[in-house]
Amino acid sequence: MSSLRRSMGTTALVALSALLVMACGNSPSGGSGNSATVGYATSQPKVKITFWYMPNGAAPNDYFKAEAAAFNAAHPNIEVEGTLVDWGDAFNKITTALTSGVGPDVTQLGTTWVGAFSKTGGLHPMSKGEVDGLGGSSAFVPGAWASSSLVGSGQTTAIPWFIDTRAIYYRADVLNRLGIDPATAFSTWDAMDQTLAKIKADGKVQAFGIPGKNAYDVVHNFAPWVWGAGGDYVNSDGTKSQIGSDASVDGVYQFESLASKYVDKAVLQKSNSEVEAAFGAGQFAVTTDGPWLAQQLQQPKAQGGYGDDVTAKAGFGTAPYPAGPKDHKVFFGGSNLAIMKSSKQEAAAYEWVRWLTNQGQPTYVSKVGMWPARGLSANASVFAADKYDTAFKNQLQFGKSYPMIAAWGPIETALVKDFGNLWDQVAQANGPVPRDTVKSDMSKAAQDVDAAIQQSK
Amino acid sequence: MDRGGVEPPRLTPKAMIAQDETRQTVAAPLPSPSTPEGPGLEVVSSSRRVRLLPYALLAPAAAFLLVVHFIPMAVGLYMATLRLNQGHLLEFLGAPFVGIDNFTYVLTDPISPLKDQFLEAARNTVIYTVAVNILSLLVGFVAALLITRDFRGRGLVRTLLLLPWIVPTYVVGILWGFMWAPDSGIINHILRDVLHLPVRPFWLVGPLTMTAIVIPTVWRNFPQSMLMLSAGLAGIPADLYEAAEVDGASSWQRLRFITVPMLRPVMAVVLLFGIIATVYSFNVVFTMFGRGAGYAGEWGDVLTTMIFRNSFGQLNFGVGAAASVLLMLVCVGLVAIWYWAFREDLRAR
Repeated sequence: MSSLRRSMGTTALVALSALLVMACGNSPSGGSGNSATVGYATSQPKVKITFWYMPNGAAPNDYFKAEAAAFNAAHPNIEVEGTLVDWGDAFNKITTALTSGVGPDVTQLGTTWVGAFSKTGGLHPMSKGEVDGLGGSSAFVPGAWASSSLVGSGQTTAIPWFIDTRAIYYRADVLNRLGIDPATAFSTWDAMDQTLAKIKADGKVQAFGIPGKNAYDVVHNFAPWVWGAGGDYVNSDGTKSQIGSDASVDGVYQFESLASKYVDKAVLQKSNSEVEAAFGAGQFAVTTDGPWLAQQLQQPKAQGGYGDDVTAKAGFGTAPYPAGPKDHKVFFGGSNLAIMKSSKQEAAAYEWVRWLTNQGQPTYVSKVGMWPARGLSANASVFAADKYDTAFKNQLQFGKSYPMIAAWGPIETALVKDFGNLWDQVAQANGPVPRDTVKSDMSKAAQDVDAAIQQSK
Repeated sequence: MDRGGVEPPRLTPKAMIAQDETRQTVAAPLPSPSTPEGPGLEVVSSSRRVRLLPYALLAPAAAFLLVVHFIPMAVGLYMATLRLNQGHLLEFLGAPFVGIDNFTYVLTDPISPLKDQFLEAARNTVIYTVAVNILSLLVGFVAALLITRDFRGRGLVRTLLLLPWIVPTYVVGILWGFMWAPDSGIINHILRDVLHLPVRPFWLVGPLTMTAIVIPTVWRNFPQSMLMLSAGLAGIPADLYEAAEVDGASSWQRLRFITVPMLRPVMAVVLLFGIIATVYSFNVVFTMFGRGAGYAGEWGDVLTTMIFRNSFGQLNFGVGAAASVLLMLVCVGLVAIWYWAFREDLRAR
């Protein structure tokens, strides 16, 4: 028999064995396949899988390519083709992919979208074997694992990849010059107000800078203030809105008052990246952002960072988000990874997910400036070394995420519009928007949220 | 006069136009029933044989229209009667039938947030459509008058005036979004630093938003009006102007009594295309406000962006389809007004 026939026969036998193993061991609907039989062995035929990712870090394409190359070195039979999708388009594009059946094998998802997309039935539910193959749920930060499934479904549809939270960034030289102690400057709402008032009175630099309605995370920016006042967006089981309650209105009013008093109205109309660049350029002394900004402030301009600019040279620091009068909670979001049900390469896609949430996690997540969702990854030396990460690490204990309910996607869309309205009012007002107006706006928002919940049933 | 007799009375320009139109209607004789009219249009003979060639040539276009327009329209109408939300998304046309519930949710349901959004967006769409089309027509008309004159550099001027038309609409939205920025935008830079006006308007907030979306759309659209009107201007007989000049008509009178009336049919067509395109306009508003909230505000949200937000953002395509049907009715309403205004110009002569 020729060597060609022999190798073809061997390949066919291996493929058949692999198929049999996969058929017996790996059930896509929550079957009992064990962790040893899941995945795509290196002896399997070469395949290509497609992956959608969002702009993670200063050079998202470079970071993806490096990770795909490392994965391919360990799995030479799986090639990963990546597509960068902007956060602003991602929700719509994933919706289109779910409805049309034409989309990637693996996609990055915002944690707040897991409920909505899981409800459509378009995401691959992980079997017990597949979850065990990732190390099991206990391998992940508990708050992060809560975002892996739709509430009440019993099915894991999206594996936590990295955690995203926000903290305060400040110009260390400005606080030093004004004799403000960074350890207490932002510890409570009152302390933060006094700090910003001192910076404003000094007159040398604008006090505060945040994006208003053009932020991609409009809803997340209000969340810590709503929670700090004892309010919430929805009740615990996600069946009724709470944003119209007095406590919630207090939180919204506090945040918009701070913005009205200390943020230049032109800055309020900038996007996230414009505000980050403006902070890097030293336009204002205080801002709020995720851990990626610290990365960018340490990276030179040639690598897409602001390391050569005013703030980096003058010195900056990070501090945990302030505690409110009733509670101390910070927004806990991030990204998960999901395999589309329409994927024809589910096993190979699973292998990519396993890589990104395990071996590949410390390097990738540290590069993009996020916090790993896997508990053990957080102990990696690359995270301990960065002093700016301390504030983020310290406030993980206060992390709170939105309920993973099906209606959350539509709820967030409704709130984005209502908060956008409020930011428009702030831009046109002389001073803070009156509490009565905020109350009226949030009553409307409550109505919109209840309607979104009803329509999602 | 040398020939003696009375000189025939000189006609006014209006009378000359009427005479000209009458000549056109009587000029072409009706074909004799026994005269063959050329290839492909054989007169029905006693054997009633009809050639199929024209139908064969039309078939591909008809098939294309069926597949690209009529079938999707019918599917969209049916979707408007389904509960096609996130729970039933993958069922598509198998989603539960709810009749006119989606329409009542958009228009009359007291707890529906869409009711106010729809009315606001409908108001904005009407204002936007009327403003854009009137301004595009006016600017296009002035530009057409300019480029039909003979002057040095006319070709260059015509090319420059055509440039906005080749810019993709989504680029127009992004570009003007940056231009309208309150501190870094060029518009406020010109107002504040060049003209030294004591203003720093927030163009993308409040009622000024309507101005911020109308101006870029006019900028993008006027070249099309200019081209069509310049073609119309070229078709106006020169002897009408000569006769009017001889009668002592001023430039304004020639414009008002000759040019505008003769161009009314062309203007009607320009406005019709413009109305339909503007009612369904999406790109400029979406890309100008696409960052972050993606919400153009009380005075910028138009029906297409409202429908997009509530379909994709709310994962509620049944309601979105119902709102799309209502959008179509808004367009039909505006076209009906157009028809009432131009019915005389559209009549066959």
